[in-house]
Amino acid sequence: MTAALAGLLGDPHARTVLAATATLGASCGVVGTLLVLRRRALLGDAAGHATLPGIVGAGALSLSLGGTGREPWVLVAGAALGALAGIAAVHWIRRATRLPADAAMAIALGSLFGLGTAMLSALQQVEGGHGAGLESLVTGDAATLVRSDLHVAAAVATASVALTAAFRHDLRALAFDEDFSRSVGRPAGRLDALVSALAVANIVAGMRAVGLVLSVALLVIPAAAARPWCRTMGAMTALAAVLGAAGAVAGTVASAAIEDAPTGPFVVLACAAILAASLVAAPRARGAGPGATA
Amino acid sequence: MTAGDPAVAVAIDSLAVAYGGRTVLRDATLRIRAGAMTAVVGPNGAGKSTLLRAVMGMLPFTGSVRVLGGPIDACRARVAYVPQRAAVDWDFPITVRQVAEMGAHARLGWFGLRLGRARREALEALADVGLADLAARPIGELSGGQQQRAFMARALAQRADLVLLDEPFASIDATTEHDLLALLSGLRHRGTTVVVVHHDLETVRERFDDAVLVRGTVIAHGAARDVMTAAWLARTYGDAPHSGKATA
Repeated sequence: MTAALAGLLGDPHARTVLAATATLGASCGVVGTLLVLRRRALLGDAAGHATLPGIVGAGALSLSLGGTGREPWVLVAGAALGALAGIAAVHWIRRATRLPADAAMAIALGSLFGLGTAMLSALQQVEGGHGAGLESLVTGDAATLVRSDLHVAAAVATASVALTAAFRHDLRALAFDEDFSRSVGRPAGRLDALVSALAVANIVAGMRAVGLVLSVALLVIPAAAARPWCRTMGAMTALAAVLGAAGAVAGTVASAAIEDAPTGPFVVLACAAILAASLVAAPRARGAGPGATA
Repeated sequence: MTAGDPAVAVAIDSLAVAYGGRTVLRDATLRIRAGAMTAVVGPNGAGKSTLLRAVMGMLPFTGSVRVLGGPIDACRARVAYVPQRAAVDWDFPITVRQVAEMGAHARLGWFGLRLGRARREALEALADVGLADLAARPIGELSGGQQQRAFMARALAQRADLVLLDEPFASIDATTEHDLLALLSGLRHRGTTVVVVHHDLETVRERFDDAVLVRGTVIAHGAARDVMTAAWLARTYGDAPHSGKATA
C-alpha cells in the first residue's frame, strides 16, 4: 500500500481525492460522536438512505427540464431534501403510531430507500442509462471527486467543528442528562435539530466519496472506536476525527488498488478494522465503573 | 397562603396529570413554603416524581403550577432539579468537574464560561460535597453515593432558590445520605427552598420541616411532626408495603 500511496500523492488529482476523503472522515468523526452519545445513530442511517429518492427525484426533474440530470447542485439539493424528509418521516411515524424510535427509523429507512431504488430503476428504464451516473452515489466513487468536492468537504467540516465547539456545553448536557438540560430551559428540540442538520450535511457532502448507503458507518464507527479510550466528550470528538480521517484515507487507497471498485465499502471496512483493533486493545471495558451497574 | 405570596415557593392548584390513559395525579392542591425543607412521601407509583416533573413543566398537566411567584419558564435558572439516578447515562464520557460545571453554566451562560468562572464555581461546589479529589475522574468510575454527591454539587453550583431532588437517597450509603442531608439543611438555613422525594419516614420526621403525603393526590400536607402520624400514613400507604423504617 505504501507504493500505491506514494504514487497517489504524486498525482494532483489523487491528492485532491485524499484530502477530500480525509476531511470528510474527520468531519464525520466529529458529528458521529454527537450521534452516538445522543443515541441517534439510526437516525443518521435513515437520513442517509432517504437521500436516494431525493437524488433520483432531483435528477429526473433536471432531465425533464432539459438538464443533464447530474448537475452537482441539483443532486445535493435533492439529497438534502430527501434526508430532511426522512427525518421528518421518522418523527411523523412516531407521533402517528406511538411506535418506539428504532421501529420508526427502520420503517422510514426501508420505505424511503425502497422508493429511491424503484425510482432509480424507472429512471434507467425511461432514460436508458442516465440513471447509471446516479448509481455511483449509492456506494460511492472517490475517484470522481474534484476540487469543488474538496471545497464542499472543507466547508462542511469547518461548520461541523465550529458549531459542535460553540454548543458543546449544551450538547453535552443534553446527551448526558436530558432531564437536567430541559429543567434549566435548554432548547432540546433545537439542539437535536442542529445535530440532525450536521448529520445531513456530512452525509450529503460524503455521498460521492463513500456513498449514501454506507455514510452512517463513517459517522458511527470512528466514534465507537474512540469511545473506550476517552474520558471526555472533547477527547472522544478529537480522536474520532483522527480515526475517521485515517479510515477514509486507508479505504480510498485500498479501493484504488482494484479496478472499478466502489470506495464506500473499503472505507467502511477500514473503519471496522480500526474499531476491531480499538476494542481488542481498549484500556478498560465499557461500563466497568462501580457506579455503572447501579 | 395565596399563590402570589412570597412565603410560597411553589403553588399548585387542582393539578391533574395523566399519561397513557392512566390518571397519575388528580385534584392536587398544595403550597410549598419558601425557605423550608419539605419531604414528598408516598408509596411507589403514588405520583411523587410526577409531582416534581409537573412543577418543572416537564410533562403535560391541567391545573395551575406557579413557581417562585410565576410560571416555571420565567425562573428556570433559579430552580435546580436533580432527576433520579436511573435517568442518567452513567457510561457517558464526562468528568465529575464537567457534571458540576453544568450547574454553573445554567446560571452564568457563555460569559461565565469564557471567564473560567463556571469551572471555578464547579470546583468549589465539588469541595463542598467532598469530591474535590475526584474532579478529573469520569463519572462512571464513581460509586453510587459519589455520583449522587456530584449531582448535589451540580445543584449547589446552580445556586438556586429552589432545589427539587427526586429520590436522592435511593440505594446510597448511610454516610452519603447523612452528608447530603446536612448539605440540604445548610442550604435551607441560607434561605433556599428544598423539596425532596424521600422514602425513609424516620428521617422525614427528624430532619424535614414539612411533609407532603401523596397517593394519586395530596393526602395531607403540613409540618412534618403533624403529618407524619400513624393515621395519615395509614391513609397514604393503605395496604401498600412500607418502604421506610417507621412502623406507623
